[in-house]
Amino acid sequence: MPAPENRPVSRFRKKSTFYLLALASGILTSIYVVLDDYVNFEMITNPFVFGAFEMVVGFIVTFLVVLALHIPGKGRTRLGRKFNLGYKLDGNFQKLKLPTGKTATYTLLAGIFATGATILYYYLMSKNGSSVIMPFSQFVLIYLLIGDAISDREKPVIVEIQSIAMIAFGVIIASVSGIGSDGSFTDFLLNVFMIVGPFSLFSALYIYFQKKALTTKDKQGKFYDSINLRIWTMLIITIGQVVAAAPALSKGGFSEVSNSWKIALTPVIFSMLLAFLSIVFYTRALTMGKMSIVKALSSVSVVTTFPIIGLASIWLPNIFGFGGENLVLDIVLKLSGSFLILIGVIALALSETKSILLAKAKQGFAIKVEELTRIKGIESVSFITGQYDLLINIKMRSIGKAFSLVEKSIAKLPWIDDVITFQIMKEYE
Amino acid sequence: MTVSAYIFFIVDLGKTQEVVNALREIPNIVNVAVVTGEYDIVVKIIVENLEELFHVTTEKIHMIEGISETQTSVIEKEVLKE
Repeated sequence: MPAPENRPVSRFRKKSTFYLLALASGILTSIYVVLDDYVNFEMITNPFVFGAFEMVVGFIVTFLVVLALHIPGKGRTRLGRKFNLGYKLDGNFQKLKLPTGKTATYTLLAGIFATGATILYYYLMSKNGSSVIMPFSQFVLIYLLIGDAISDREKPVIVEIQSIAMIAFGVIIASVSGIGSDGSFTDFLLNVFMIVGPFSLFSALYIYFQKKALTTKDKQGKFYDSINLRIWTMLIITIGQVVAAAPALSKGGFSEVSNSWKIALTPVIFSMLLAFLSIVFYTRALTMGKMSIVKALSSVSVVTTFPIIGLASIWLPNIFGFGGENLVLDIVLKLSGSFLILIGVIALALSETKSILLAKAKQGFAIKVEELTRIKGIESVSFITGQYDLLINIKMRSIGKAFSLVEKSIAKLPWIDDVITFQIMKEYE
Repeated sequence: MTVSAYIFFIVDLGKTQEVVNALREIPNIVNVAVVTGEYDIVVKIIVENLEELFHVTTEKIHMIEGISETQTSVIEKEVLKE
């Protein structure tokens, strides 16, 4: 029977599941970010103390959820394992277990970079609020694009450069109204530096190591799962947050928490449950596609944040209300910026073409498969029986690039005799 | 140890979508691609052994209306990108 990573195509297209997971993650993110903004503004104002409180509560909530995911369901999975609720969220989940070997290293690194990004998230949130954090946090996409380009060993094509430009300008337009309204220009520059620099870089490395942890097989040839990855990275983040909050806790932070924890508990639990689901969906999507495209799809949160802030501003105008006299200008700027980001990411997500090549090897020549797998754009090479010797799967940003790949790289290998190309028009995975 | 194979199809004119829908109903098929060129559809199939491959191809796939020609290539080894 098919391996779990090769699910049959009959129920959902893999692509649909991939898009759905990434988009759902984005929408859930926008809800929990607005909730965090509310608790931070109204109840626990110190960002480090709030971060530590939310992560401790969040870790306990997540741990209980993961325990609940062990509840057995009816029947058995495709591989004959007993079915549990966690399997519904991630097909690789069996039980709570510590990562081992390389996966443990990647989980630890993901946790460390996540800690850095989370500490900065709470700090920047308290300075700027959710309407600024959401668009600006999309800068991470630019790092991921560069990361994907490095891992694919190819120069960015025009659509990637266009997307980077659109996202960068979209982020600036959507954020500028919020940042410009209060605080000095130095504060503005400092915030921009923090978001574009360490915050985005830590987030990009966090995403990168999550992907590595989930796509590396252990000694038994099994993949790690997004639920276990979340709980262990969360433990590291929680420890990091508590350490970062230690000075503030000793200077009145404890009394702030003891005064507000009862009213803050419900929104924080709700926020952390949404964060858990959002991150599990996100990491599952990561195992199915490119980092930059997952991030791009989930950046729908930039657009969905504004209606949620709009709804929240009806109840809490003092926290979420857009800047008074410049209301129309503010809305126009935020919407224009958000749509620019969205168009940039959609252009990027839709700009891949896939082809299948069938190749014959010359008689008397050894097939050097590593010469093929080293070539940028080649996803896999299969030795097959029949008229042709090899089937090569390639993925490129344009048909023109696919042509160059065949003409300049594959056809020039001395042991290749003949190649025919099939362009994939539609694919069901 | 499972056996994987690619199957290449030539399909009757105007029958591609029907054939694709029928192929997607077969649980062993993990990928269906509609392509340009000499063939119309390429699928990847994973089965337990060659016996099962024989059964799936002859009893399920060859029964689909609209398929005019198939060619099956068993995968001897698969190498993913470095």
